[in-house]
Amino acid sequence: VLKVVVLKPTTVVDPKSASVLDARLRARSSVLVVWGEWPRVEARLSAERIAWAGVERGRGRLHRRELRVAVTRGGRRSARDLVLP
Amino acid sequence: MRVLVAWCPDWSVTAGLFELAETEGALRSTSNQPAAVLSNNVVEVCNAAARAEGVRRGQRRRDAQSRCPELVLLTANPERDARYFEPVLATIEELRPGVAPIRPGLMAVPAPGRYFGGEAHAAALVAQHLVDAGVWDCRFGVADDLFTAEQAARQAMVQDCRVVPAGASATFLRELPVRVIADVTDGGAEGRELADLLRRLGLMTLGDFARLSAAEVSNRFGGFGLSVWQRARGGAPTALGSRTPPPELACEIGFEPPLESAEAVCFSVRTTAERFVRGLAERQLVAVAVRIEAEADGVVTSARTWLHPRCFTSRDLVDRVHWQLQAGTAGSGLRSRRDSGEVRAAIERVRFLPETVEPAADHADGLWGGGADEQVTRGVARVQAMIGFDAVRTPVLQGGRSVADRQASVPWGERPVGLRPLDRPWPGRIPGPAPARVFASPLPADVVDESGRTIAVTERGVVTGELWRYRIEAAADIAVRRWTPVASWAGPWPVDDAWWLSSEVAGGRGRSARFQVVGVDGRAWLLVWRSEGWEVEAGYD
Repeated sequence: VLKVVVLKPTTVVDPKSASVLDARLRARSSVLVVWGEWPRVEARLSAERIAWAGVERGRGRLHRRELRVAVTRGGRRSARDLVLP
Repeated sequence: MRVLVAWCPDWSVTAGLFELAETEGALRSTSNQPAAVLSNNVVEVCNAAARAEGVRRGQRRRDAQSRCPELVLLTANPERDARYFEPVLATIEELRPGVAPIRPGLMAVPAPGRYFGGEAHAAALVAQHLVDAGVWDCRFGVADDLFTAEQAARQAMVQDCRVVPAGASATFLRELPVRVIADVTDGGAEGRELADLLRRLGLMTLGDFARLSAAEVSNRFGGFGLSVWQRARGGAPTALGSRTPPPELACEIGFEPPLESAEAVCFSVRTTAERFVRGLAERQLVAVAVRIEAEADGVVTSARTWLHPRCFTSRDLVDRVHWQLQAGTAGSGLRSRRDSGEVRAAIERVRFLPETVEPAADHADGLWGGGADEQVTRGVARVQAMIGFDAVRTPVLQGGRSVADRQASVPWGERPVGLRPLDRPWPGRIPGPAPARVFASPLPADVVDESGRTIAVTERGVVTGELWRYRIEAAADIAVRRWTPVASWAGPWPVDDAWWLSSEVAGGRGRSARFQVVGVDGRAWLLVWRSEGWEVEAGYD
C-alpha cells in the first residue's frame, strides 16, 4: 500500500517546516503531493497542450481530454502524451 | 408446565403513541386517544378508542379519517414495536426469569406455582408492574399450554387474569369459534386460510375441529392443520424459547460534588470509559456507536450519539465527552490549552450507552498489521482532538443538478444523513467527466455572439445566437479576464427549478441553462445562463 498525502497550502511554506515534514514523510515511507509551490521538490508535474474532445459548435459534450504531461526532475525534463479519462 | 401469557392488545399503536409522546415531548393522554397504524394507506392496527369510532382493520386511510377525524395516524414500524416492548420484557424478567417473547405485544413465562400466592395473584403483581411502567392495557391468561393461555388472555378483561384450571384446556377451547385460528402466531396467511376453510366446511367451533380424528386432519389439512388440531385439543406440547437477559453494557459514573469544568469531567470519566470498553471486550464486542449522556441537577442536559469509523477506545470516548460538553459553550471550535472548559451547568453524572456493537473479530488487525487505515484514523483522531470534531470533514457525493449541489461534506466518523439520493435520474445534470474545480460562489461572466450581443436562452430552450466570445470577470489570473474566442461549445442543458422559492432564499434559482465552453486556449468551463446574466460554475482544469 502506498501512502499518499495530498496538500494544498494556502500560504507560502518556509523551507524549515518543509524539511520537518520531509523527515516525517521519510520515516513513514509515504509520498506528499502538493498543489502549488513547495520548496525543494523532487519532481514537478505540469500539464501542457490541453485539448478537449467531444464538443463541436453547439453539439456533443465534453468527452475526453488529450494532454501532454511534463515531468521536471532535477533539471531533466521528460514529457508524454496522455488521454483522460 | 403451567404457562402465563401476557398480552398487550394493539401493541403497534401503543408503541407508536409512546414514540410520539417521546419525540413531541408532550404528555398527551395516550390511553383514550384514537390512533391507528397504517401500512400502504390501509389500517393495520387500531386501538379501542378508534374502534369505538368505527375504525376497522383493513379500512382505507380516507375512510378511517372520515369516521374519526381526530385519529392519530402512525406508520407501521416493526422495529419500533420491538424496541418499546423490550422494557416491558425487562419489567417482567425482574419478577420471573425465563421470559419468552412471542412477538411484540405477546409474551409467555412459566407460571409461578406457589410464589406470589398463586397464579391469579402473580398475574395481578405483573399487571401492577406493567402499569407502573406505563402499559395500562395488559391482559393475562394462565393455562396448561401456550395456545390455551393465549386464548385465555384474549378473553380476559383489562389488567385482569383468566385462569384455566389444570386439565380443563379442552373444555375451555371447545366453545371458541374457529376464527381464533386466524390469529395463531406462526400461521400468517395459512392460518387465515385454514380458519376460512373450516368455517365453510361447517366447523364453527374449535370443539368441532378437535372431534375429528388425527388421520382425517392429517389427510385433509396437512402438517399445519395437524399442529393446529393438536393445539385445539389442548394437548400441544409447550416449548418456551426463553431468552437470556441481555447483558448490562452501559456504564455510568456520578460526581459528588458536581464538577464545573469539562477538563475535570474528562479526567474523572477515564476509568469509567476503560471499564466500558473492557466490559464490551469481555464479550468479544466493540462499540462503533456510543450514546453519551451528561446529567446536571437530575436531568439529562446533553445527550448525543457518536459514531466511530473503526471502534471506540477509552481515549476516543474521553475525547467525545470533552467535545460534547464543550459544544454548548462559546469558542468551542478551537480548543486551547489554557481554556479550562467551563460547562454551563455542573455535571453530576456521565453515562455511556452502547448503541451499535459489533463482533471484535470484524475490527481486529490483520495478520500483517493494521496497515494505513489505522494510521489515518489515529492521525485524524489527533487532529480532531486539537481543532474540534466538526472541523475535520470528509467529502461525499450527493444527488443534484448543478455541480455545486452535488458536493457535501460530513464530519469525519459521522454517517452521512439527510443527503439527496444519488440513484435518481436528476434531469438537467451535466453528463461526462466532472469538473476539477467548482467555485464556492459562481464568478460573474459574459458571453456574446458575433455581433457583440449577450447570448440568452428563450423559454423554449432556444439559444439566441452562436457563442462567439466569453469573458470571466473576477478570475484570479489575467488570461481569462480578457475576451477569449470560443473554440467549441455544447449545450444548453436547461433547468427550471426552485421557482417557487423567493429569490433571496433560492439564491438566484429559477430558469437556467448550462453550457460547456472550450476556449481557443484549450481551457474548458461550465457556464450557466440565468435571467440575470452569465456565471461560471466550474472549470475543467
